[in-house]
Amino acid sequence: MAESKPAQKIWIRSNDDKTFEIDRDVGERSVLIKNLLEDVGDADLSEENAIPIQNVNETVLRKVIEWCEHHRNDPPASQDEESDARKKTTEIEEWDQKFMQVDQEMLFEIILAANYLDIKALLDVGCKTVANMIKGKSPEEIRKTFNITNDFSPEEEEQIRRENEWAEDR
Amino acid sequence: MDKDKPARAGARRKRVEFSHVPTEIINNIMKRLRRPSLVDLCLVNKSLRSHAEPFLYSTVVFQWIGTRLPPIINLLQTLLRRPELLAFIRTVILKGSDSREIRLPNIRASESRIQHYMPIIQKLNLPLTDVWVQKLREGHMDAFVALLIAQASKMRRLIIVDNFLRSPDFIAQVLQCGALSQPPIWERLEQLVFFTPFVAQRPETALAPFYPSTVTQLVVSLGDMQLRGWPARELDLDRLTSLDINSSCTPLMAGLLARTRCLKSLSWEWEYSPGFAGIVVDLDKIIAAFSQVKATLESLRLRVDISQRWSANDEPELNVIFESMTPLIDFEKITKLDVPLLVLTGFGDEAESLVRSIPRNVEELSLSTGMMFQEVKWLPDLADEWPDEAILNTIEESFKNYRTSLPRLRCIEIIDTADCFVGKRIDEILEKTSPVEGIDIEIIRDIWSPWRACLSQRF
Repeated sequence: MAESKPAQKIWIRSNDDKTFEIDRDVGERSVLIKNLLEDVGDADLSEENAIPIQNVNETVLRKVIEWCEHHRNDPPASQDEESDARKKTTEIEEWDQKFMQVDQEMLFEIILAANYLDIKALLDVGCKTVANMIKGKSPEEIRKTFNITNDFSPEEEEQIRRENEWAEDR
Repeated sequence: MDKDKPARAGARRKRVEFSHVPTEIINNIMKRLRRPSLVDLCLVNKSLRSHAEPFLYSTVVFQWIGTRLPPIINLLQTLLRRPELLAFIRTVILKGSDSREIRLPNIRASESRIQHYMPIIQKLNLPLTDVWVQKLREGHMDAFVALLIAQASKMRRLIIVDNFLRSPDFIAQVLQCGALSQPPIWERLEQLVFFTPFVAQRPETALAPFYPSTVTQLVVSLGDMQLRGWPARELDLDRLTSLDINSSCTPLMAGLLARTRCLKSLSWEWEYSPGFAGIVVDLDKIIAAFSQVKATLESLRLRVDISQRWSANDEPELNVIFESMTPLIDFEKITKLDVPLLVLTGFGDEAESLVRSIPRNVEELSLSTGMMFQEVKWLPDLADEWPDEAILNTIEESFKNYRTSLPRLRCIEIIDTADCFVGKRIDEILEKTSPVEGIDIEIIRDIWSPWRACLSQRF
């Protein structure tokens, strides 16, 4: 049996100057990195020329790489997953659930990083996690969960309740 | 593997919170939430309200079950106060139960409230103002429904069924007038379900759903309305790609299909209502009607089910005319075919395998039991005692050497529309062996309802 070819390496650098050496297919989970690699060409890939990831710091980038490594062999998302019916689903696979058990600041940092790096599947997992944190909570509980200040007067709250009364119909 | 370098001081961003993430991410979260959560988010703070409202108002769903009126008047009141919310409405679903046996209540609306609606009706400028106002005063639900859908000009999907169409005439008039007004009220309406299976309709009402020319997917019932052909020559059906319909009028269907240009999916339930002294099902003419869409059709479902509305004692006399599926064989684009199992069995002594008449490129084949319920005699002798084996024997016989005639066939479904013809035993048999080599056969118990299918698939 032929020996498998060693994975090609690439280097990416966080905005606080931490350089990570990763397999190319792991990096290519990010559409941003994939496009940059196509522009750069193999000859220019080196640790010294690490791809700058300007909007992501070391801690967050390390988490994002961990996710990309775990999901490196995932098939590309099918068109069906984009249908309206599927958008409502907030089911998250077990590994991803554990991965997302981080403090809230880190959760939003991961979501922002996934958005910047254009890693749709990670972005979706992050948004599903936040959606699950909202589900079943009262407005006050949502405020507490996300540290949000209520800027409505009691009269305004009453008005909004009346406005949306039609939607309470089950 | 990472290479250690000293972290640059001051690179850390300020704390990220929910309220401060970009709009596209908040929208990504919102689209995963259902109505109760969106209602709650509107009450959290002003910023989240502005993000949640477009999602909350994008889909309006009301259920009308029994005598309990849905709160449509509350929504109309909100839209009156904040008309800017109308721009968010993309989908309107009005469904519930079909409570024919009970008298449905009217809505009580005060004269002052109706006066508020007057400018809206006048602005719409449809030739229905007087009757509309009269109906509002009398509290008819259809007038309030019309007020909602006529204002929702950005609507892309309208599903209106069951109790909401108990009196379909006025809503149909609004639909037709709105579609013909210049410019049309709904310029983006793509999917329309206007299904009144048990209501005897006037032709104008039955044809109204065909008027909005932007519609690509239509679910509609013509019932047993009998016309000599398609009466509405001016109708533009050029964009229609999917049609789910029930009708027992083959000339009408043939004329309708001739008006389409790009119909890819056709689901036709041959429908009739109690009162017919006798029933003639001319499958040859039905299949001939399909020739109008031969160049475009990719999926064809034909259901002819005469079993569900009749008790054994008052079954009408049935006359089925069926010679050949041959006209279908040239439909090269068809990959999904759903036809009565009868097409495999033919009739009694003249029975022969008709599998060679099935379009050559069919990949998914469904065979429904509908007509067989009363006509078990079409099956071999086994049918009386062992209908499951009879079905399997028929399929086995029909599909001998199918690989030559149907090279792309991947699966066969037996759709038990009567939900009592196919027994449990067939599952046990199929678990052990398939009567067709290399093909999985699945039993589906399905009392077909096109609009429910539409809801489950697309909502």
